[in-house]
Amino acid sequence: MTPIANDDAAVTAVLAGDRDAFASLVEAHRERAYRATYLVLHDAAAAEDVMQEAFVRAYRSLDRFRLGDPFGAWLIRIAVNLALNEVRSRGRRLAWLPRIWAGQASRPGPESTVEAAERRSEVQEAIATLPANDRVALYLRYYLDLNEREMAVALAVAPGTVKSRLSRASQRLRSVIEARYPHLRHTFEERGPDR
Amino acid sequence: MTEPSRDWLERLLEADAAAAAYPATPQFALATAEPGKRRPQTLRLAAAGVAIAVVAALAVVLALPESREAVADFLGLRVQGEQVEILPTPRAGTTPTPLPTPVPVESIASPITASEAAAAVGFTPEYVEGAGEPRLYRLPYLGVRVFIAIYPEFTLWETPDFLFAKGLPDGRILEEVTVRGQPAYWMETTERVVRILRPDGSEVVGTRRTVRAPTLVWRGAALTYRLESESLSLEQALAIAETLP
Repeated sequence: MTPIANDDAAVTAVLAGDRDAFASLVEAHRERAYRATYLVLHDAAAAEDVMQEAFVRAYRSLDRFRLGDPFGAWLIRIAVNLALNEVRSRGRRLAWLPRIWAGQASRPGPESTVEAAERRSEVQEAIATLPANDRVALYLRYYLDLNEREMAVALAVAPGTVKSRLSRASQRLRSVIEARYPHLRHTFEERGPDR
Repeated sequence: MTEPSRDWLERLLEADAAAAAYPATPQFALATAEPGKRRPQTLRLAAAGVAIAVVAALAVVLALPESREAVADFLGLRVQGEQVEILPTPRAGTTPTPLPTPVPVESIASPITASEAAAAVGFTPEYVEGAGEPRLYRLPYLGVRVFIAIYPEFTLWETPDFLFAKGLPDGRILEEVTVRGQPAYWMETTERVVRILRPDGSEVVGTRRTVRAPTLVWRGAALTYRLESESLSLEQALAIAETLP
């Protein structure tokens, strides 16, 4: 695979007939897109299936990609939409997700393993109560670290809408946590602004 | 997107995100048409060596995490509704991504009765006479018209309009044969992954499965068939195929 200078160059090359150039795009962005899909589905096999389709759709829709936009965010948009469709089509309930999340290996931290696992479970349980758009906004911002411009592309909204979308999602999550898991707030208030 | 100050919720989310663990990002193998085109390109492959029809690359295989990219050759055989991809050979010292654990057809299909079969799958299915009483299934995906009949000795898949797609290890042989004078092929290789594609080439999520059984694929008058059997020979499979329209 010949290295491609940047995403726009790779897209241009693919559209000009260089199919191999698509591999460089995929290689550069597949991990974050897969993680976005996994966050929505919490099912590795289903996330893989969805990503397969997402890559095919991205390839076939490449002529509609706007040069200058972040390609990774555009790919995430396709993948997340497919994942949400999958959730809807299967009528999946997300209530079981926190258990899966809590059962996974994690990086060691200052908390005890049990404490950390319980916290993750509760956080995910709280997020799972939110509408899909709110969940996605929080995942993109905090779990995948997308910036505002990337989020705008991934959510297919105007850049100015990103903050209000995030603010709404955060407020809803805040309400859920305060009502159901007030100790989480206390814990992280006590920790203070330092990290 | 830096906020002037982070409150307890942001700290909580950031801590949770930092502790999150994800499955390893898998290797992806993709069948792709020309960018911007909605239908997959079906290419006819010229015979080379034995009896394989091969034409040109149609796809992109995504790289494994550590290093490499690999391009898969996608083979458009002469059987309408069937697409075969040749997977890249793993490089020395690398571990190939394992195939999904084989699952029985019943795990991805829904049982139906003979009386409701046509209405359930959206076309009139064909049956093999004298092969025993089959168990009947359909794929429970919206708009997917696939009928499956599991006979004692083989499983017969039928579809009027969908693509079967599969990945084969490189260097494997497909034997080109004919059924009623029409092109067909017999695949007797190691296990491979079979997927169902929609007419636009997109994969029907949830239909991927690992298949070990030798398989005969052919296009009849109105349906594409695939006959999978662990016990039948090519000759026996062809004899059955000749009885179907």
